[in-house]
Amino acid sequence: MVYARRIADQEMTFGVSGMLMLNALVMYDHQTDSLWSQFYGEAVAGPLKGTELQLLPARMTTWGAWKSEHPDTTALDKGEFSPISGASYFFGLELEAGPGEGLPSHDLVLGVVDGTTQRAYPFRYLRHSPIVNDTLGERPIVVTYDGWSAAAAFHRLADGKTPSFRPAGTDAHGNLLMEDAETGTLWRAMAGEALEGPLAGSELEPVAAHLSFWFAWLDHYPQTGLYRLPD
Amino acid sequence: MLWPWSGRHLGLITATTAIVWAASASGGCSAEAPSEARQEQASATTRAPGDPELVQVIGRDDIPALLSPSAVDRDIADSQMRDDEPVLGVSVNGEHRAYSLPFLTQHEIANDVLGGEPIAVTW
Repeated sequence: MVYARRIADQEMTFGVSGMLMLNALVMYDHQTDSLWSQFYGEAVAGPLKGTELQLLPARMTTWGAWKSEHPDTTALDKGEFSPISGASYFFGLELEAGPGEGLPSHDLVLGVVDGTTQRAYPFRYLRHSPIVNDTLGERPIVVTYDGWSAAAAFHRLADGKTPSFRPAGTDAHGNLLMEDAETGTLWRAMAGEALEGPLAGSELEPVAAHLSFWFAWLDHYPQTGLYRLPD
Repeated sequence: MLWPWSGRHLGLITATTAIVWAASASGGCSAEAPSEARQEQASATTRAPGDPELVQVIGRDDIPALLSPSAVDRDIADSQMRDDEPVLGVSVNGEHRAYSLPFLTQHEIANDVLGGEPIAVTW
């Protein structure tokens, strides 16, 4: 999650408290020693308890896909860091088949929040259905999955209408494409940007969404819905 | 994400994270109250009975957040990352930056400035 560090006129600096709340990271700020839930983006203890941070859009993707979309991008300097051999990028792990009911606790999901409604989209289902047209609460959304490590969610609203998306192959860089049934416009599925067709240049508004382990998402949102493949 | 160091999923701890644990000497010497005591105080004085529990698992700052990281241009980034490296892509006020997720995992939080705005990139 990415948050704005400015609250009113104050610029906050965050550190790692070493504490957990609901199995997720608790930050502290250098200015007031308040404690903050990384998941909720809210101070849970200390002088600023109850203060909320502004959530900024961010996308999990790959370096290759990101730089092809944003040729002028910079990157966080890794300095002398080099990956330790054997370090596990857990996004690449093959998940075992789960039990018939519920979901294995360490399944990766894209958790989506719209107002007071939450739904988790398991990667094990998105693998079979990488473009999902859904309705969350009362708002039509589309969930997209690149088949590996990136997933995103957008509001299905373009040009005043509700498009229905379906997969449309990949571009020369391997980026997932989708098209809408109503106008045939071609879109970048992970970016929600229209490339060609009547709606070219349009951008879908992102929905707040986090990559999470299922058990942690359920800890934070006990009332969450769970997307399943249609029978 | 903190998954690698929370007690319920030790299986995902990487060698690097284990080194962070072994080397942990939280903070240095200080004449003021230990920072973890301040955290406990904040927790004790402002939390209500129904609030979710806060559990101190490792020492404060055992995982060092990035306080003023630098950014590199695309060519240097290409020497630091493979094309298939997972990143968090962020755009603010028209400025774009990629944050390597394996690298960010070592620090959990990057206090950065992008598009003129101070941001916290957390993982």
